[in-house]
This record gives sequence, C-alpha cells and structure tokens, in this order.
Amino acid sequence: MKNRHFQSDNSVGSILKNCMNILSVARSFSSLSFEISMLAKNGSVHAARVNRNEGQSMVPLVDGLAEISRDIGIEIETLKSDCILLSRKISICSIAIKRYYLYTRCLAICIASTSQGTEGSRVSGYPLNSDADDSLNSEMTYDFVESLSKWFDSLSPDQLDNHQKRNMEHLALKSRFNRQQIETLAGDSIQIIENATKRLTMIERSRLTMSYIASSISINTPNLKSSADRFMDLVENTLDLVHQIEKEQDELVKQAQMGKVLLKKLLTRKGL
Amino acid sequence: MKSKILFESQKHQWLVLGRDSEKQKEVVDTNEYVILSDENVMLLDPGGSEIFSQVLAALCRHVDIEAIKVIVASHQDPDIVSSLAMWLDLCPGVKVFCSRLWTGFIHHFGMGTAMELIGIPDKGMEIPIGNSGNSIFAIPAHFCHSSGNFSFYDPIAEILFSGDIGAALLPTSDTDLFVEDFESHIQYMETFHLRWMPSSAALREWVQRVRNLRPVMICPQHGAIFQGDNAEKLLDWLESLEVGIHDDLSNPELDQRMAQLRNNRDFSV
Ligand SMILES: [Fe+2]
Ligand SMILES: [Fe+2]
Repeated sequence: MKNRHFQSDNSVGSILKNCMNILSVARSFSSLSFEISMLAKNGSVHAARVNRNEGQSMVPLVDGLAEISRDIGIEIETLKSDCILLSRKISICSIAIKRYYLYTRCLAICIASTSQGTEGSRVSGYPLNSDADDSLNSEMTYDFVESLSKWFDSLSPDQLDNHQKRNMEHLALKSRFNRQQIETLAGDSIQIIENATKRLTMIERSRLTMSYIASSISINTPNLKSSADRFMDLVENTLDLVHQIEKEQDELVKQAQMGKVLLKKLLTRKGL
Repeated sequence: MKSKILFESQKHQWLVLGRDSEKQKEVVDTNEYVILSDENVMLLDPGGSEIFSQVLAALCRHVDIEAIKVIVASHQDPDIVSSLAMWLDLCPGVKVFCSRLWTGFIHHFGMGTAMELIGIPDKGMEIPIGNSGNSIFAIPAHFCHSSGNFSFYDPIAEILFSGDIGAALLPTSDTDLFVEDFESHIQYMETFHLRWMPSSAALREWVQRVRNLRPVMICPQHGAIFQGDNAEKLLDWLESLEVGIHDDLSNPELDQRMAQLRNNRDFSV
C-alpha cells in the first residue's frame, strides 16, 4: 500500500512540477516581451535618425527589424497567456487527481473489508481476496467505478449495510465526476500545448529573420561614418535578445513535451 | 483502522476512529472523533490527507457522509485538518470552525474549494451540531500547544476533546483505545508535552477551566483516551508539569560555519 501511495504522489508531483516550470517560462516571457517592445521602439528611432545621404540601405533593414520585433512581441505575449492558462488548468487537474485517487482508494478499502471471506469477488482494477494489501497494491484503472454496481449485485444483503452502500455510491459518483474533470482538463491542456507549439514555430521563424536582419545591419554598418556605434549597439541588443528567446523557447518546448507525455498518460488511463 | 462508540444515548452518539495498523510509519498516529446527533454529523479534527481514505472508509460504516454538517479544528496543524479539501468536496455546505487566528491559514488546505470557515473568538463559543438542536462548546486552550487553540466540550456526553493536550506517542504494539495504567502511560506523554507545550501558565489555566467542567472522558488527538479516575489523574499531572523546556541549544560547529562563510564573503566583496 505504501508503494502505491507514493507512486500516485509522484505522478501528481511530476505534473505539478511541470506546471511550475511552465509558469516560470511564462514569467521569463513577460520580461522578454518588454525588452522586445523596447527593441522595436529603438529600431524605429534608429531608422528615423539615419543620415539619408550615407545610409539609405539601412532604412528598410531597421524598419524591418522594428516590424518583426513588434510581431514577435505580440506572439510572445500570447504565449505567456497560454502558459498561465495551462499552468492553472494543470494545477486544478492535479487536485482532481488527488481526490480521485483518495476516493477510489477509500472504495477499495471498503470493498476489501466487506469482501474478506467472499472468494472470487472481483472489481475491475481491484482483484479482491482476503489480503487487503494485495487489492490496494494492484494497478488502479478507470473501470473501477463502473464495476461497483455489478459488485453490489454480487453481494448478499447482509454483507453491506445501507449506510455503507449509500456512501460508496456517493463516492463512486464523486470519483466519476473527478475522473471526467481530469479528462476535460487534461484534454484542454494538451490543446493549449499544441497551440503553443504552433506559436513557437512562428516565433522560431521570426527569430531567425531577426537574426538575419541583425547580421545584414552589422555588414552594412562599417560603411556609415556618423552612426556606426549606435547601429552596432542595436545589432548587439538584437542578437542578445534572439539568444534569450531561443533559450526560453527551448525550455518551453522541453516542458511542453514533458507535460504532454504526463497528460497523455492520464488520458490513456495508465499513469496513476 | 479501529472504531469504537464512546457514548450513546437515544439520539446522540460519540465515535472514535484511530489506531490504523496499515498507516505509513512516517505519519503520526491520530484519533478522529465523530458526533452523530439526531442525524447530523460533526467531525472533530478529521485528520491529515495521508490518512483520509482510511478515515473515510471507517466512517462509511457508521454514518451517512452527506450528513456531515460541521467540522471543527482544534488548531492549524496538518495532522488536524489537511484533508479539508476532500471533506469540502464530499459534503457540500459543511461549516468549518477554527480559531480566528488560523482562518487565513486553514484556507490553504481547501485547494481553492469554496468554504464557510468560521473563526472562533479567543474566549470560545457555542457551536451547533447542524440542525440537531444540540451544541458543543469551544473551550480556550491557547498556547497548549498552538497559539490559537481550542478544546471542545459536549455537555450531553460530558466528553472533552482535548486536541494535543494529553496526547501520547504510543508504540505500535500498544493498541488499547483507553489508558489502563496511568503511571505507565506517562512515559509516552512526557516528552511530547515538555517539547510541544510552550507555557506552563497556559496549561494550568486550561486545567482550571477543565476541572470546572468535570468531564467523564478526556479524548486527545494522539494516543489513548482518559476516563473516570484517569481523567482526574491527567489533570493533576498536567498541573504539576513544567513545560516549554528544551535542551542546551548552543551549537559551536554551526556558529563556526556561519562565521567562516561571513568572512569569505567579506574577502570576496
Ligand atoms: Fe498540533
Ligand atoms: Fe496533533
């Protein structure tokens, strides 16, 4: 029983940890999105200041950088909201998992204590015999709740009093409700992860374009006499931000994949 | 998990659940008390989430879960009421009572579930057992051990639920629900009281308050129950106890390590 118990706690723990990591990426996105908006503004300012005689070729590049920064900023803001929503869904889901686990465990204890001595009595997911520990150790499945009514039918009237039967039915209903909640929330979360993954592909494209424009600006900068330093700063800031976006993006991809695996385990009814 | 009826009249019953032989050894053993009064159920310190399934399974044999109307918490510790989120989910409309000091803290156990949490004022209050027309009374027990702490007295059963006061950490081999030999029971209570109870004055005040009630049974949250003469002996013993005492806390090794780290920092800055 001890092992089962810790196994379930670990599953809930992994999901909660994943949820905290996603939330922490959302926080990093929040400060990134501010820096990107500053970069977009700087780009516009630089473009306006270009000396028309010496740097005509820089105008479309700097304008382009400002525009792409604005676009990537909007995407990152949306991604941040997705992460916050995702972490909220997962955390509510983990509460439902805890409840589901504790209710079905209670049902298993009730069944084991009632069935002691009734040989061959079985509830799907909890093969019952005289050893209560064995029945609690067996893998928990989602068929358990549905099998209860059949189990009630298999009992003689003196084996279960009215209190206990009513309470077990109440628990079975609550377990079913929690199971439905887990399925809905896990499904919603997977959908958010998939949308976020698509958004990450778009960000990836914009990030590469940003990096390309920054390199082009850097190639053209030595031709400028008066504002070369300012442009080199812009390039440096841009590349620095591109690097940070890449880092956070990688982390989110990693966490999203991990989250998806954990949630799919739940939906395929194997994980807990 | 064992269960036993402690008091029974026509429409009023006290039940204790405890001594779970299957509980994990890392988790402290607790007693959960239940009052069933005219079809209304009250739980007193329903316990931690680690033992929730066992408590619920034991309770299922005796009462209708949906008849649970009131939960009282003697104080804020996790072994008292960290299972609250589950009870709130199973028994909608349940009223929860705890010291006014802890309402904001106990909300953390609710996992976001809406709850009616009523703060008990420092001087105590009468708490109705649902619609039964009967009540229990919150008796101040502050600083024994928690700073916002209550015992609960039922004038019909003449039982006092004392929370951590009178608690004993018993060996697993000891499965008696009642104290048989008070003198030999002291060894299991002494360390707990000396270390967990911070104030001898508060403990003596509580003893005075409880003497006036003359309970026939004193029921702690851990360990065996005191009845008859043993309840009286417990009060005498608590009155004589000098608590809030701990060993010498000097720790030169730790002091040296902190000084070392502080010095390193000064050099590197
Ligand atoms: Fe405590
Ligand atoms: Fe305690």
